[in-house]
Amino acid sequence: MRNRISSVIYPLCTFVVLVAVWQLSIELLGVPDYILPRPLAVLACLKAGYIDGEFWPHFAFTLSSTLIGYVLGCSVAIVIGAVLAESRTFEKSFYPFIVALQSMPKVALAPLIIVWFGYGIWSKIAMVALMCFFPLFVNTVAGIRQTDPALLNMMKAFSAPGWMTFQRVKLFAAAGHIFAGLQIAVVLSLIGAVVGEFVASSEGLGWLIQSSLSNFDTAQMFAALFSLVMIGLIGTTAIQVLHRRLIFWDGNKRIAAPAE
Amino acid sequence: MFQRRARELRIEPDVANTEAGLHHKDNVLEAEHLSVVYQSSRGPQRAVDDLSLSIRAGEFVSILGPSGCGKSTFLNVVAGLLQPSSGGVKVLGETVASPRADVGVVFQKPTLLPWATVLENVLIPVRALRQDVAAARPRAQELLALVGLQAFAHHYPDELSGGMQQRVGIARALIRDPAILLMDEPFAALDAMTRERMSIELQDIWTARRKTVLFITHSIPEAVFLSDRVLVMTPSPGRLHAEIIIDLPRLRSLDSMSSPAFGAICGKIRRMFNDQVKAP
Ligand SMILES: Nc1ncnc2c1ncn2[C@@H]1O[C@H](COP(=O)(O)OP(=O)(O)OP(=O)(O)O)[C@@H](O)[C@H]1O
Ligand SMILES: [Mg+2]
Repeated sequence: MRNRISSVIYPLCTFVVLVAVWQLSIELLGVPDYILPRPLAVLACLKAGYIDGEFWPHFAFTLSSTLIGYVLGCSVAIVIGAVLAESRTFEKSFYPFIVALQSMPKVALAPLIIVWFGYGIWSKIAMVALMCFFPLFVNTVAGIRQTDPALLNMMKAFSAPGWMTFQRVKLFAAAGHIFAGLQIAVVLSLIGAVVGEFVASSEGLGWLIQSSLSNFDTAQMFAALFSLVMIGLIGTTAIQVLHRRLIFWDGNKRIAAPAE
Repeated sequence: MFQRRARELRIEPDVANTEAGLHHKDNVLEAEHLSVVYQSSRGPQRAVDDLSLSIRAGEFVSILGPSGCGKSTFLNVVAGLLQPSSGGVKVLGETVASPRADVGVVFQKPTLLPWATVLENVLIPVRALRQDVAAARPRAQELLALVGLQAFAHHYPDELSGGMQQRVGIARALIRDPAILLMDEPFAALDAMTRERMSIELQDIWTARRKTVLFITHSIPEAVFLSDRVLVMTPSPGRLHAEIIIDLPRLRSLDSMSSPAFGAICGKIRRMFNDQVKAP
């Protein structure tokens, strides 16, 4: 309990001190607003945005494109990863291409995706899905591959059919890796959404940041940025909680995930 | 030559063996001129060489041999997990080509699914054959009681000690009521005390269920304590070196391990090993 409280209090103190230093240094050094806004100005902008309501459509746009793209990209990646890990033929025919694609900077595809999916939400969803795909794909394949051979041998000794071994052994064995992928994908999905909005959009938090550029409204940039951080934070926490709830068997063993 | 000696040594099965079941006098398991050659990067490697043996219904037979002599290889062939290079193994008169429903395997490590409860783990072989799981549940509970784990049915494997996990593995191997139980050094990972306790429990289970057991071990006293017959293998490639019939009275207790007769048999086997090492 004590631990719980201190883990909330300490970062809160740090936050308050940082904000105070921020506000004070602007007052003392006379940094102009268009370079660095005052924290109070950001707060006022957030209040105006979310209480008067003009931020909400943008927030909803980014949140929904991120969520839909995330679920889509992750599930497709898990399915394809599982099929590839299970089938030698599929693996031989496709794995080299997927690995080659992985080394490509995905954000460079943003303009093409706009061409293919239009200016609306679908291009953002596609962008998010594309960003989420690779970490999930790679981790699913790796997770299934590292299944304890002793367990597979045991299933074989009891004549378990392949689908049963997959469903009751390999999927569970890969679950830790899959969650590590889901964790990275949260951050990547936000990058995808923002890049999509930067390239071509008329709404969303990323678009809000870009449109603030025309009048150097840095307070609004910070307010939008803060909103993105909140989405990322909530997403990451949700995945962490799910991970701990669902993958109860590998305790505190942390699985290293390949970084993008 | 040892073949002949082995045959000479063979005696009529004792009472315990004959009352065991349908296959009276018949061999439940037969290996005939079995050879296994592994293709490794350093060329072919013969792991088992011309091994012939037979096991009668209800018999408890141990295989003793130095590390790397092909014991696990032999067991994997019997389990249907490995194809022999020549010769073959027959279980109940049928040549083994793939894992059989009437053979249960206990592995050296417990190899339980960490995400499944003890009860679910015991039911895996039932699910594997797509049999009625609900109907098998009471039987699984019964087997867990037999191995002293009835209170742990809904625990997860990592909440159990190594010995308890191994007992789950034994219950799992028994769930389909197999005619033959194959055990590959099932107690090797346990400490000496637990190991002795497990030997007694295994003897109890064997007495209660009258399975035909093929038991692999490194421990001479363990083999002598548990077995009707001990087969000694030569170092790699594995061949049958000798057969020792253990005619100590059943049920054996830990005290019987300190009896002169027990010591004499262990000594005889130990000398056999030493001779092997000395032989060119
Ligand atoms: N998959 C394999 N490929 C190549 N060689 C193998 C393979 N498995 C085992 N061998 C070789 O076959 C021989 C017998 O191995 P096996 O595992 O059957 O021995 P073992 O008697 O069970 O030994 P231990 O008592 O140490 O378990 C060994 O020399 C080993 O190196
Ligand atoms: Mg072995």
